[in-house]
Amino acid sequence: MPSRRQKLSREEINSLFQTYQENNDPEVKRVLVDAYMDLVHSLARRFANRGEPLDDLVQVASMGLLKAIDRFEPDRNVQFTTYAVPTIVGELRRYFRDRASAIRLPRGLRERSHALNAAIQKFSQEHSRSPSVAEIAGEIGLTEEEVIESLESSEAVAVASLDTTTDEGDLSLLDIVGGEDKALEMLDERLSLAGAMSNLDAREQNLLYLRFIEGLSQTEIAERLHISQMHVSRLLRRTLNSLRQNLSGTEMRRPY
Amino acid sequence: MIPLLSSKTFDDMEKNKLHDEVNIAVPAREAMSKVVRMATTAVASRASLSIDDADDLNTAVEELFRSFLSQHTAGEVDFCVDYIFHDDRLEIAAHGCILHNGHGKVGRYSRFLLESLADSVREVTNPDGGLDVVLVKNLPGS
Repeated sequence: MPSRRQKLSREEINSLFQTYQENNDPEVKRVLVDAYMDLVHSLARRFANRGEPLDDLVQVASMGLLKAIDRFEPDRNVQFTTYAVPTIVGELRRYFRDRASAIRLPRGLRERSHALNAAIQKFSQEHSRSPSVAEIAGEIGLTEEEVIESLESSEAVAVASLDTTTDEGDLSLLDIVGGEDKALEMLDERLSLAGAMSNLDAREQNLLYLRFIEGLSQTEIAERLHISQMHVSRLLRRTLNSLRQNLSGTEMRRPY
Repeated sequence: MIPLLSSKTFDDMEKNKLHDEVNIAVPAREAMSKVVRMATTAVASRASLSIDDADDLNTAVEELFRSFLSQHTAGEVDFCVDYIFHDDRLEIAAHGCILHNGHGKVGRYSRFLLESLADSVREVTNPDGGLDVVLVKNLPGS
């Protein structure tokens, strides 16, 4: 198997796709992902300067790449990039579309929120822990009230519900969480949430797994997924709201 | 099962006024969830919790608020929360919340979520005979 970061020929790429289609080998998928990470970065950069951190855009574009790899059919004799580029760009556009439908924050608050985001990441990397509000306020020269306001405003950036089923049905949970699926089953059993969980997309399920089964903190999840802590916080909140709504919908309200 | 305690905890607390307390009461309406979150973040900040821990607490209190909303008619009653600062922990008591010891899917979900996010969760009978849910978050270095 070709090593990572090696320029692959079209024949090698096709061969890898054939292999992946036959046995869903995650190692083959990793090689394919690695081979196209430059494309992911290049497409993510196209959408930079629109108010979203580049790291988050790379993460979104990577999700598009994973979808493209799973759905690509090498037998159709089309180059992978021909198929992947619109898929990845579509994922990025959907990301902005979802966010554009939300409340538009005042520019000052938005900029403060970005500065806060960067400061939290920097602090977490330097100190290997999440900062307190006071620490982060001192770091970027804001009052604690301004930091709290910015933290909350980041929650309002996107209000679109994530419980809409996306077209990710062919990406199994196993693909996302590797060999740890037994623990996820345990979560399902423990909560009797099978129905509600199945309405969440793979990313949301993965997030719950990392937070509540692996017990990672938001900062640790952010590092693992290469996104910001604030983004993890937003995703987690929306995922939990979706889960609660799904559950409430399946249970008659009891008289108290 | 979440242990059902007597009101001894609160009685003890009443005798010992050394702890700072913050009390909020907001109308039980969805639109007030942001007020509850901001208050919780502010209290967590005052208690020197990290942003991660503050966010966990925020999610837990929001879950209590949503649980309360589902149990009461909107706007009829207030959602009352006491934040009690101890030397080694922050206690949050939400009045009139019932977890049903985790019965029903939503109850099990709430219990799991709260137990994951707080260091301890318990239901207590308050001096009025009602039920409160008390969350405890240990403070850094305790």
